[in-house]
Amino acid sequence: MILNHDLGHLPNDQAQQLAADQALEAMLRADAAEWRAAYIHNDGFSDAVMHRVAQLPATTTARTFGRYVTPRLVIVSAAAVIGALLAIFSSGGNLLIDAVMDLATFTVTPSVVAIGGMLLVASTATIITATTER
Amino acid sequence: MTSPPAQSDHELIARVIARGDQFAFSELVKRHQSALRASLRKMTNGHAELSDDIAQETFILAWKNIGKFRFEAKFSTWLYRIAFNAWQSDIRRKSEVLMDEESMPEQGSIDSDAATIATRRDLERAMVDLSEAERAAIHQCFYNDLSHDEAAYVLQMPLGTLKTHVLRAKDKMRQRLAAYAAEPGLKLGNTREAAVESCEQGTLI
Repeated sequence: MILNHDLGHLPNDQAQQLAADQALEAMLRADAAEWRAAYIHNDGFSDAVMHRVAQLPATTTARTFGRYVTPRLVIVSAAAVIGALLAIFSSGGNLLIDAVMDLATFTVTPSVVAIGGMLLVASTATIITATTER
Repeated sequence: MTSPPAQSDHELIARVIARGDQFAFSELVKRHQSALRASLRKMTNGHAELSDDIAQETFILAWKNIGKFRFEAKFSTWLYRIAFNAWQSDIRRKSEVLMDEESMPEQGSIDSDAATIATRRDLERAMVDLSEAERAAIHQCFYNDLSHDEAAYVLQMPLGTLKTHVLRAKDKMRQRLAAYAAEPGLKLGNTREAAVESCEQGTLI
């Protein structure tokens, strides 16, 4: 409810302007409320949408997900390979043993990056395969 | 026996993104179809067939792009944004001017008394003078009941620009409504007369 006396502290023209503005807003809100209140029954609308959705290529969301994940997977794989090469050359081939030892002491070394990266790539690839299967 | 609690929009969307779950998407369509179609009917000036086509296109685009949905926004707001873009594309494609004085909305879809219809007619007439951006701003803020922030997101414009459009639109509409009240020989419904006169005189309804 809009009340004239709420505007009493304003100069006359400002009060009129504000009241007119509120009156217009009230008209708009009343009209909008009536539009929104008129529920439009489904009447097969959602079936028509879902029929078209079913005709679309099934991999739509999978492709979107893949587009997001694939570049990140490539970066992690590259880091893992570089880490593995560094670890092999620097530790004489004891990659797995070195990585376990370093992990136990919370030290970040090329062997940790290599094994960690490989595990991450493998698990992400498994998740992608599991979630995008139809 | 109790039915399982309804899943939120965001939970349904997560199912669609993770598994391409069509059942979850169909729930979203059922939930939002009425509001979206009503909004588009208003935007297309009551053109039911055209608005339903755009609504269908909106949901198809939502399905195709659901991976891009960011969970900060409400799903309905995101839908309105897609619908607005689809509607604009449709206008460009057909080069139609939908909001002219000759094509007044179909009144049959909403039960209204004569005074309400007269008020609505005046509002429609007052909106004719608005620019497309001003009309869109009014539509999103009032008819879709969005906040200024949400409306700016839907219309893809800065918040300040949106507020300016709303202010200018209201200013123009106020002047138009005041002019209608001054028109001689009009037989107006009481509610509409009071509302229009209040706009003219700055009194209240």
